[in-house]
Amino acid sequence: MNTLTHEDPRLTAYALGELPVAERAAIEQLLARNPALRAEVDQIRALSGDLVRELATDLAETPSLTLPQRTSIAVAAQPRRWRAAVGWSVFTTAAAATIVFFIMPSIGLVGERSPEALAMTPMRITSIDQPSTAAPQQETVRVVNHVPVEINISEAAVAAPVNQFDVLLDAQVTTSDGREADFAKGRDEAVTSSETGSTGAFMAIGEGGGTRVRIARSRTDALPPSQPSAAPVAEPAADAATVGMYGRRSGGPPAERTPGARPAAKTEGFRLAPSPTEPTTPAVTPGGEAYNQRADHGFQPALDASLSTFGLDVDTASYGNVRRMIEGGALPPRDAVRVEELVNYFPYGDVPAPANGEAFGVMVEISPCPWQPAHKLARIAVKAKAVVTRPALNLVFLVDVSGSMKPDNRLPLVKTGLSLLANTLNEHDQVTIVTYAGSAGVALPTTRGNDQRAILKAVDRLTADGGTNGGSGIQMAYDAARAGFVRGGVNRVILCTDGDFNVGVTNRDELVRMVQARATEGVFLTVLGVGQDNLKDATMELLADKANGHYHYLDTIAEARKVLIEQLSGTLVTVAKDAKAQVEFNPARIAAWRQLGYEKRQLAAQDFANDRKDAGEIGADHVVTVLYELVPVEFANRTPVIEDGLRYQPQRPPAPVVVAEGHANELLTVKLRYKEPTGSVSKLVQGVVTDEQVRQSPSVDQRFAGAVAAFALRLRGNQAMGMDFPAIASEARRALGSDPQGYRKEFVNLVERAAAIQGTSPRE
Amino acid sequence: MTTDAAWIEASVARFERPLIAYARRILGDDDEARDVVQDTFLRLCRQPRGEVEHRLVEWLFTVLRHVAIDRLRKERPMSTIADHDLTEAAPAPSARMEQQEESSGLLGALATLPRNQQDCIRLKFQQGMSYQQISGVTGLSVGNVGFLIHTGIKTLRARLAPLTASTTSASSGPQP
Repeated sequence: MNTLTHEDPRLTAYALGELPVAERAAIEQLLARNPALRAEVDQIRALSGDLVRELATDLAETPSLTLPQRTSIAVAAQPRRWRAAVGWSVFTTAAAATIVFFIMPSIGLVGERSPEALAMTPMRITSIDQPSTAAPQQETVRVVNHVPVEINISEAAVAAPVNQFDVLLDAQVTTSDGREADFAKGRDEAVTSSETGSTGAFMAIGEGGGTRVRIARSRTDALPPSQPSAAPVAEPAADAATVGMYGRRSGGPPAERTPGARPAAKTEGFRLAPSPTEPTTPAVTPGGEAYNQRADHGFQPALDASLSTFGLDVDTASYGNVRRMIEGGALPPRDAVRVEELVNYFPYGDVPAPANGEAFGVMVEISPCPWQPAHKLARIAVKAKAVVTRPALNLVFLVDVSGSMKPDNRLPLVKTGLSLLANTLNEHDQVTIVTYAGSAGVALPTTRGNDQRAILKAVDRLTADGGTNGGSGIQMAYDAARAGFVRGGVNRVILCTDGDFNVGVTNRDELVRMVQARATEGVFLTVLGVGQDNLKDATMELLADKANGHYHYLDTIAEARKVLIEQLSGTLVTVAKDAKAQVEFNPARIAAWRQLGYEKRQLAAQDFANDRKDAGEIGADHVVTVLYELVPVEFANRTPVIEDGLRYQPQRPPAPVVVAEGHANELLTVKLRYKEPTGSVSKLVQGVVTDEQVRQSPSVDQRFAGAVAAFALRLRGNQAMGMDFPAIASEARRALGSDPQGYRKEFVNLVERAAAIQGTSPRE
Repeated sequence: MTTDAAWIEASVARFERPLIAYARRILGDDDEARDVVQDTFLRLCRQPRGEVEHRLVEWLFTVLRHVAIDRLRKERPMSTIADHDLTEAAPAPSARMEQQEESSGLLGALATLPRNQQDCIRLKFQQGMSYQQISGVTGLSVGNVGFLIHTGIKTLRARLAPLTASTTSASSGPQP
């Protein structure tokens, strides 16, 4: 054994690291004396490197499984008690003849989160069962009133890179003719105007004294009454419910505050209120996908706008859509990225379940903001109660079978989802399948949930036949839902399409009206979007919104399972309707704030307590996460309003912030309003967050949510963010937690992919 | 409960291509390869997770290999599929595919090796398995696996030698 030749397999085994440790030493001794053999080892290693590379290429060119194949595996992978007892493969084989199903109440799997729920800082919750004053809709007429507010960034921030200021200033600028310009352009104009001696500079770097940022609020438009939800700016409203508890500036009513203030030169100041939430012209990508344009929220000074009011909502479609585009090798268009939908895609385990008898558990965590450590990131998480006994389901699937639904990721995927869902139904449930666009008609008359065979057979028979019959599919679907209406149950039409809304009612407004009318009768709409081109995202979302429903984008079997099975009770069982939230910031503690996302959910402050105002739906066991970026007063000291001096008026000292007694250490208050699914009068729940609850080291869930928000903001073109894609990926990687479903890991991969895409595209 | 389903899904995502790549070498056909891989995963679904998880790679490839070889035996008359096809002799069923794709270069040379050497080399360098794992999948002894890989690599080096030599001389010209 003390000789070694070229013929000895041990040589290769050694080179490949396959030799047991005991034998390695002996070989190494022999090699030390034999340069020829050492060269041989090197050559073996070189060749093995080549082999690994070449075979990896070969692997990359290998085809993957087909969708039906993957489907059959996904079905077989389901827990045994749900699936067919004996070898059953979905619609690849038509034989559904010998199937025996074990039917169980299917709700068990929802809410079985690992008991890792940290004892976070649940808010003190007060539940007030008071009927709200149903305020009459008022026409909002705004006074012409420019209120410049100056925020002085302290020295702590001056040491930081300049782009942090951009973060603070990430706001839309309205030019004098009403057009919106992006911030960079606005800054250029402002700098120009300050050079020419005008008073409009809103950013000037001082010498040691800090950077001053002037945010001039421009309120000049008299809004037409048809857009009541335009601005979340705190109006001096008469409605007692909207008057903040933290008080106002002691200088009198807003109109009198700064009578002589001039608008900031060319830029007319920041537009603090987001634009009206229902834009009329959707942006269309080259592929024909339509997205509504929405401006990001800018920072709002807490003193002037202390209330943030919005509908609570849990759509997650944007994430699937964004994922599909990035995996396809392109960064998504800005308006396809909705911050709150990305954030809410992921489960967060740390939200406490509601106390007995409560509909919601609420948790607030505040920690340093990952992309701007001087700021705070506030995460408000609202968890709806789980439903223990699931109500009966009356589901009507309205399935698009037009030719465009043919590809694997469309109709076949919908069929997979239906098959997976069918396995979870029981004898109290009923299912109807109506098709449209191809051959319109009833594919499955209303059938009991325990007749799996009939359901699966009907699902199996669905084909995208390419016809364009039109037909009154949606009418049939709603008729079926009404005919089979289950009192106290879940009555829902589930529209599955790649964007063809030729459902029998072609006019979009007419369609919306119809869907809305049926919602008032207790039949709600869920939209499941599939496919990639021709995806009329905006229409789907609008439809789901108007029908008290949800919109989901399905791109994989995993997603179909998540939406239809794991969230079954959540997707389909509404535990609260018209859920609204109102956050009030204490201006003594918070200088400015901005909400991350929820642009399309904004409500006027006075609509919070207006029970006639429609808002979000919350499903059983759903968690809704809302994020704010806060600028603490320590970071942004208020200074005299007109720094560079008015010619005709004496300089005035800053008005002191007066806070109602006993609330000095409070940062913010969260109020929720919701109605029971069948109720018409809302309930109020509220809680207060105090200084003591601010954490220096964020929880894992907080970090992950922050990373997702950073990703979304950056995809929305927020280049000034202090975190680039690699930084976001590494932050998310450190916040994986237990991640039982692997969603978070997938997110990390997605961010890395985005980084790669960005790295290869030319920079401007 | 759902974790098992998610585990299967993750396994599919992770191993479908490696398994198909392996199966198409045995079967010489993409569709058949997919078929047997689907079959393998369906079998995985019926397996208690605890019994397979710690040796998943080995389990998948072993089952796949058996399923694929079974299929070959069933579909082709016994006469055309002598045992040596699967063990020692030069490649038979997949030859046409390889000739199209890999007429030259390293993979081309690999395709001319006896099947059992190719088999071990692919498992080693494409799937990153250890000798031990390859032994588990193929049923060969660890020593035998080592011998086959050693011999295979030697042959590859010999076949590629002229190629390598020419590139070396080309690149070792006078330095500027």
